[in-house]
Amino acid sequence: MDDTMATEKDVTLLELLDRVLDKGVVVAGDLVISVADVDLIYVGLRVLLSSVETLERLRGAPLTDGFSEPTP
Amino acid sequence: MTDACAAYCVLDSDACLPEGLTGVHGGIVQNLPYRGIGVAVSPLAGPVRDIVAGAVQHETVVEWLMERYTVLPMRFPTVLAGQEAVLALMSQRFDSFCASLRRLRHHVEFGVRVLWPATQRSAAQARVPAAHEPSGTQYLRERYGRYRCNQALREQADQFGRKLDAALSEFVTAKKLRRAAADAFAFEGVYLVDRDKGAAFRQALAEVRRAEPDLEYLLSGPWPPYNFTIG
Repeated sequence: MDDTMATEKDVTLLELLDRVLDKGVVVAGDLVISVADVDLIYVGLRVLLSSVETLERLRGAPLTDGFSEPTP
Repeated sequence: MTDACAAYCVLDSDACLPEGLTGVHGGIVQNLPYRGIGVAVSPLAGPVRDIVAGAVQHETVVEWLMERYTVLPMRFPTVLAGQEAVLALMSQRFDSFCASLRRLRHHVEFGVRVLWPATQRSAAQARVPAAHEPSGTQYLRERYGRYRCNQALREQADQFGRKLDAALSEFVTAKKLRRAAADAFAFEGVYLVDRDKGAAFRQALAEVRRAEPDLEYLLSGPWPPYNFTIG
């Protein structure tokens, strides 16, 4: 197999994100967790980021980290 | 206060993990045991701001574990409200996790994408510049031209896909084929492969490539079996 066909771990970021964000065991349900005594609402363990395009769209938005900002 | 933790995967062992394994935000990864299996978690002190870096850290942990155990990878981000929540999850889904771990034992995942040659892709995706005041006939003619072009690519893709899949099937335990966008990909699929058959699987793909050298091939893996966590 030559260089143009990837061998061991051709880890393109797209391939990685496609799996890690969109596949795997999904633990359904919402939880309220508390960090440093400030309640943060985890907005969904069922985070269905279906594609890298979705990821790009969500980048920079606070909810992509799975937490919402605490409500006053 | 509840201590949040990031969860990475379920594994077929309740063994302690070495102290050096770190995950999201540098949290120490530990294996929480439950009736002979475990779930890898690390403490999470706050929100994950960088979703890409977090995903890479998640994957790094899962891959480290994949080399040593059978794993059932979890989607990122999976955050649980402390050890009690993790144990409740394990209790709730223990039978299902055990069945999946048995099914995935000694297996890894490979991804295969095959692209049309760059010249063919650009021809199929080309948009005919609109005339100043295109007539209905011109518009329909252009639409029909693009339809014919995509239809031809679709037929070629189906034909190639059958050939490629037949060549690989001998070495796979399970597969998921995607109906690829005809103007970009000739083939997209993910395969669950026994570790012992990985080399033969790659060799089979290499042989198809030699027979069809004009296409562009991307083989990725071995991955944790993200696409096969549900049987």
